[in-house]
Amino acid sequence: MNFSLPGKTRNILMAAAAVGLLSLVGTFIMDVQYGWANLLLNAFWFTAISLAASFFVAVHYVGEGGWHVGFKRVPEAMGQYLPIGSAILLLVVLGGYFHIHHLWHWLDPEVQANDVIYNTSGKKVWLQNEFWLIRTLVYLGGWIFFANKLRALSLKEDLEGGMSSHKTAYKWSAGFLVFFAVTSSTSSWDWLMSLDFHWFSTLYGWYIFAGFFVSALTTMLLLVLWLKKNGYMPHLNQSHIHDLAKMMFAFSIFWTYLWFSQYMLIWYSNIPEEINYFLERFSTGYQPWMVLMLAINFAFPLIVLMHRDAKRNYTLAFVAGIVVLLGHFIDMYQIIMPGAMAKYVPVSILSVLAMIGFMAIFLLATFRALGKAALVPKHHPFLNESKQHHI
Amino acid sequence: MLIESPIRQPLILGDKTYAQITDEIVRPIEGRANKMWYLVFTIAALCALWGLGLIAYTFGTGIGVWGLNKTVGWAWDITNFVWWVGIGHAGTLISAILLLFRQKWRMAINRSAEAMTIFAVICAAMFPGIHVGRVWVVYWFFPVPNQFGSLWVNFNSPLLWDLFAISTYFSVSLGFWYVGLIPDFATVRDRQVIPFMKKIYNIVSFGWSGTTKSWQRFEEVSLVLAGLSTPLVLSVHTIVSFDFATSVIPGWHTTIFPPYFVAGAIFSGFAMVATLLLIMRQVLNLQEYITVNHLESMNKIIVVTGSIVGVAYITELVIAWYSGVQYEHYAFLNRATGPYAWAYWIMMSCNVISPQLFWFRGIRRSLVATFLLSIVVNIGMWFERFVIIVTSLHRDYLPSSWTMFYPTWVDIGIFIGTLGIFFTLFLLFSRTFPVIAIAETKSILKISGDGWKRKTESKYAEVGDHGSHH
Repeated sequence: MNFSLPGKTRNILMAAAAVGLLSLVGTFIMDVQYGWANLLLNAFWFTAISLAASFFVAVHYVGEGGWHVGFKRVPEAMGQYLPIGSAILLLVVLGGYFHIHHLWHWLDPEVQANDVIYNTSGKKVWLQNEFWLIRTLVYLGGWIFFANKLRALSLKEDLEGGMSSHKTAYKWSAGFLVFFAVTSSTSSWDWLMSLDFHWFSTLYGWYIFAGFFVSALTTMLLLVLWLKKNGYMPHLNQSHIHDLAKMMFAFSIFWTYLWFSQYMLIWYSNIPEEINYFLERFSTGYQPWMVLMLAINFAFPLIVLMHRDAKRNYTLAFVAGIVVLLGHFIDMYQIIMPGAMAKYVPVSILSVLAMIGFMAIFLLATFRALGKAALVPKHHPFLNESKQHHI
Repeated sequence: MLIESPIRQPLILGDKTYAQITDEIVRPIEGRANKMWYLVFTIAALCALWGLGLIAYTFGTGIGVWGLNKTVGWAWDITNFVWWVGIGHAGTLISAILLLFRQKWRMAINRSAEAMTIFAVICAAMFPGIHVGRVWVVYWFFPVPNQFGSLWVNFNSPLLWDLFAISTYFSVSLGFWYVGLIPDFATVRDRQVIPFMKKIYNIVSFGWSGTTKSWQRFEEVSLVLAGLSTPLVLSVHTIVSFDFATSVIPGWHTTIFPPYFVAGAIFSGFAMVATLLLIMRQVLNLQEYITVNHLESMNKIIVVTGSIVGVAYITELVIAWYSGVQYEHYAFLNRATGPYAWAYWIMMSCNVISPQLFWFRGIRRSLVATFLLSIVVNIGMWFERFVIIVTSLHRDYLPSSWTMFYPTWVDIGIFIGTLGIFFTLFLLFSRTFPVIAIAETKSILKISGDGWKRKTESKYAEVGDHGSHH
């Protein structure tokens, strides 16, 4: 069965994308810095979701997982957004590099000339403009390369069958995981941690990873549920949905674990250089957003998704997924805004609409890729295991 | 799952029947132990006695018999504690997390890994107990009412959280392990010919009758315990890491500690399981149950967790350099080039570099290489804790108090003693308990047994068409 996007849905998504882009323009009119910050937020978040979807595919190759094959084309298609997301992200990075904006304050030549911490630490080398730009290109280029490689091998398997594509994909996946293990951390230092460039935390990269991985799993769950509702995934049963919802639940807890570990250790030690980061977030207007974000990202899944039946209820899982995504949007907001804006800017309607617009663009790209290949891989060696998946 | 893909390797070799599985797993504990067992047991028991003797000596003389000094207030004891607790993690990971991920290869190894967990936690728990010196007031650890002692515990201290974490972990692990043993004890009971032994196994199996209701309750309890164990795997070593990371000591205060300690714990735990299983499968003739495929899966976990630990090491180095905090800077410089650099490079080469050999399929599937590398990893992980603890303490903020730590013969002897206790307990376990979960292994025979896989290979292509209907 092949997928084709219903015209009505396409129109809704196009409209949402248009409204989103207008809202983004609105954020630029509000404050140019705020506009760039919103662009960075959406560029990073959806690129990361797309990346994490490819990571999901690679992990299942390496771990010899079979249950996901029935919907494997969904994360594969999500990975096809990577070039678009990367282009937007690169635009923001180049904007900083050419001094069109200074979201990353350390890019300001005056800061580089006078800032003591910048000049007396490794930041002078690590946060050197060209080195930073080259790293960005390496991350984005590498990710696109691996995601496309896995996608191409999967399509080749459809045509040729046999085991050779699978075995090759297994090897490329292992390579991807190694590359990902390093770059997922370092890229988050470069694009996000350096927004508060005096601050540092060794856990930061893993915390960012946990956040975008939950977002990707949740997006995947929502897409699968939507496809199923529209009659595209008859071979998927409650067990698949249960497992996807279980992953959304488990990684929500994992995200909380990392968020808390980072917060608790800094709060407990109370060292001025480190605690500043949380003072900016908990002793300012951001405080209620922080509390809301923790409630949505931890308490909500814990209470709502703990029960087995909740994870097997399609409507509940769908609604829960949307709530979790909103929670992680607020998380992204508090990751970026306090550092980039250097003041309190509440979550605005324009900001939310811009995010929805980017979501629509992301979905349009995903659906386009989804329609280009069979909705279910034809010769995957674990395909029949996935069809009989039963827990 | 009804039928699995033919490309998956079988997990039970030798065309087994259910009767054969029972027979081959239970037989080793019914017969007499061979000379080799007695020899190893004697050595282990002597080491254990030696260690216990030195603990008594420590109690009698005082903590001064250890190598600690004013600057390095804890070193060898806490290193051993963390090392042993870490080793314990593999058992819980296998029984809880691999269960959640439905990894069938866990069936062959979960019983002995869980036993190992319990023995390792016993060894670990001894160290906080003996390092207080005045062991007769060790109950002051607990928040007992003030009438019992003069001090109320400090709830702000991660050391107290650790006490709670470890005791919860120990209780749940013991409960989980024991529940799994109940039907297997009943199987052993049913084969006993000596009335006395039959009675003993009947008592320990709680008179298991094997009715449907019993199985249903059994599965329910197992699921609840698996649910409890999963957060425990993360929490225990997380809290162990808090013992260090909540402080303001350079090299200790770093936010990556919690997940990185957990990864390191799983890493060392799997290495220890590999060491033990490689010996056990040979001695008890279990090669068809604990196959090369099992060891390969474990080696994959070792290379993944070892690499996570490697990424964490490098992250710490880079961020110390990036941060601009001169104390952090120096702590890491001192680790890599100071007087304990030899320990640092042992740690780096054993934990990060040597496990990378497991990228090669040939090495992953070689029994000799697995055995050697598993020991290398255990050495490396011991040194990791030694490096973290001693290098951060011996050169503190005040250069006039800089000093070195050297273990005394008592320090070393007590460590050897805990190895003795661990192996004594494990050897006793291997003589009295079914070392492989019989009931669970049987549950995968018709999916992953090699005979069944051959029979169903041709059916796999068809089953997908039917599978989609249920």
